[in-house]
Amino acid sequence: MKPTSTPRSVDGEPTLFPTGVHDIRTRADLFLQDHDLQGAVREATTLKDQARRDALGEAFGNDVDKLRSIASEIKRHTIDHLDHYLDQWISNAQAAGTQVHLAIDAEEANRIVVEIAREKNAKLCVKSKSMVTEETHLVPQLQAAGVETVETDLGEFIIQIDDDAPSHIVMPMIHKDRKSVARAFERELGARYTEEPEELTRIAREHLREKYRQADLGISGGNFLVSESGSVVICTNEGNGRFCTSAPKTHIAVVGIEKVVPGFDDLSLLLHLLARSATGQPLTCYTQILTGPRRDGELDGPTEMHVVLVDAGRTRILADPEFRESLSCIRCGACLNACPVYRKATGHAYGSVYSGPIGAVITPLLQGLDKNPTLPEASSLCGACHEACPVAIDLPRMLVALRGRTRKRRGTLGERFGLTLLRWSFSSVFMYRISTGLQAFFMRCISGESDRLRSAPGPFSGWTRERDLVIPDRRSFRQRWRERGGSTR
Amino acid sequence: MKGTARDVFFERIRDALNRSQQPTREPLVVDHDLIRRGKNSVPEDPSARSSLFKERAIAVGMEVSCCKKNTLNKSMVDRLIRAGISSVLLPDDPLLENDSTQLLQDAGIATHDNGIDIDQLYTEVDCGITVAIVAVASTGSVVVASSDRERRLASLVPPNHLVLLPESRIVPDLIDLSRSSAGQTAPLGGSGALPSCLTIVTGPSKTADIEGVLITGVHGPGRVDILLLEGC
Repeated sequence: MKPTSTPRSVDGEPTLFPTGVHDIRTRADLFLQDHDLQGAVREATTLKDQARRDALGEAFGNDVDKLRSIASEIKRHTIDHLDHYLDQWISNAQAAGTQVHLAIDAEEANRIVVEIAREKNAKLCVKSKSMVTEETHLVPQLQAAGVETVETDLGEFIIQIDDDAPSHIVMPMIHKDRKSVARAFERELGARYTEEPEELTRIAREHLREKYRQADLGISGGNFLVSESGSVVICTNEGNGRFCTSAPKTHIAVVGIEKVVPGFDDLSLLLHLLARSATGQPLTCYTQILTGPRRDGELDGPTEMHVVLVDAGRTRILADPEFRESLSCIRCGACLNACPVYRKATGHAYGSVYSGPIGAVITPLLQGLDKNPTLPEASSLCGACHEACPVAIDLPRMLVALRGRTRKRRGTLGERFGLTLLRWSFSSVFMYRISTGLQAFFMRCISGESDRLRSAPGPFSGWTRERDLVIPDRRSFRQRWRERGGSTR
Repeated sequence: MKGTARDVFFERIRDALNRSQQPTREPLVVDHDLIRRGKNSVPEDPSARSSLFKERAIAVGMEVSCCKKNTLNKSMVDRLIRAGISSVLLPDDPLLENDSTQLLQDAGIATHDNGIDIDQLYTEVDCGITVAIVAVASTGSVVVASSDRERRLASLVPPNHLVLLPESRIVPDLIDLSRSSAGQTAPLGGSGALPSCLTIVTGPSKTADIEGVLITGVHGPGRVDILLLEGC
């Protein structure tokens, strides 16, 4: 999926940030044709999924599920009392000298940040990774206001200079290969062409160090807000987040209101789960606990700390008991790595900032189901996301519930006929045997001599478009079981 | 405060929660100690705690060496020379004795103190030396804090970071950061204001963004050495 080969639009909507109604099925078809992309995403997600299991198993053994349910309980409790904990967080943050601002929607959040930048007369802003600012499309707003804004997370930096968009919550450039990085660095930074990841990283390091030194504004997200102390907690690996929150005079953290947790006890459990679920590390390399601007006597740090608390659709989810649970998400990306649909379709197919199972649930909730009517279909309901989630969010349940909200219509005549047949075939052992026998018979008729069916007729062709169907043996499983001497009831 | 007024903002949240008046909040009761009962946690024995810390810190890519309080200066110089370091930024910490600076200079290592110019910090310092306020055995982490003794940038800008860690500051688990234990007050929680920035360091700066290839020293230090002061 190099920028040269990916079309800029699918179905008349931009590929990266569609604004109108879009269909994941047509978008996924496009990405399914890119075999390099498929291979890269499959490998990265499989490795991270295994790393998660290993890290959690090694640290907690059989207690993992108990800890997940405690974590889930902590988040549920906090969300159920969001008014209390958020209010307490604001009071404590203000007492520590943090300036807190409240934004009802994305536009207001961007407006507040731009206004602070203008007041501080900021010319250069260094920014660390933040999903909520992706949601609000903050960077173009700052650029338009004349503030040069540089993404400093390596992946986000590459994506920014290559005019691309992140496709994974934790591994933003999972869809890009080293060649595209090499080309972008040569084109945009005037660097010598090299495909060595080590050398590419060094080029970015040198380029960004200059930016940290000159920047007068730093912007970050926040992984957690600790209510008892008014702290913002930021988990990063590269160190760019530390630069953005320490080097410039002014720091602004943009954070969703659902990020609050009651206290440090609760935080410790969520930290134990977050990095292990995301990358298999015990903790991210740097976990920063930021409580207000530089204190009297401290040798450095920003002289002003601002936090913009963003609603942008979250209270709408809060008001809906069926989906409130989705606000517990700690953005670890484990459900993306575990999801067979994400692995095939890949992040950009979802056409939203949040992809994978969690994206298929919260994108329609945050933006409206009318714009994203097919996202809840992007799941086989296998349950892998539910099992992977460190806070045990029941994503399959919510995907089904969302489907219920889009499917108010009756099926077509063909669909209803098919479902009636299906119901009959499951109605008794006798009917089941008849129906499976007939299915196998018809499949053999169509496939001729071959043991595989490569293209099925009519409405069944969708099934064989991406894979072959194995033709069943002439003898049923039950027959073969009996022949081997197995007992039957 | 910019943006929406606090009462309007909270009105929306209370509406969503279907509450008209101030909430009656049920307390959150969860068994946090379950975290510590994990099969790898080492609760109380200090020497077992110390060896667990070493094992875990090495596992996340940091180097650990040990010394006694009275051999601190010598061990520090040895460590720095072995790592090929020729200039350091020193903290203003009582742990370092008066003759530390002299000993380092005698060994051919240029020393800077907190009065250093920021540009010099970016260009001239090979290694920032800081003192850990606490360390966590179960994750192999050291915690550094912003203060009047240490810059935030000391453990971030130079390519190497040397952490001095008195053994008694190792706590068993993250949860102990917020719970006072025998003879120690908790660095988080309890009374007393927090510093503006606490950083739990668990390994050198790293990334795997380009095709999953692991690279250390992206923006922060690529090498973190811990000097563990035994019996201190």
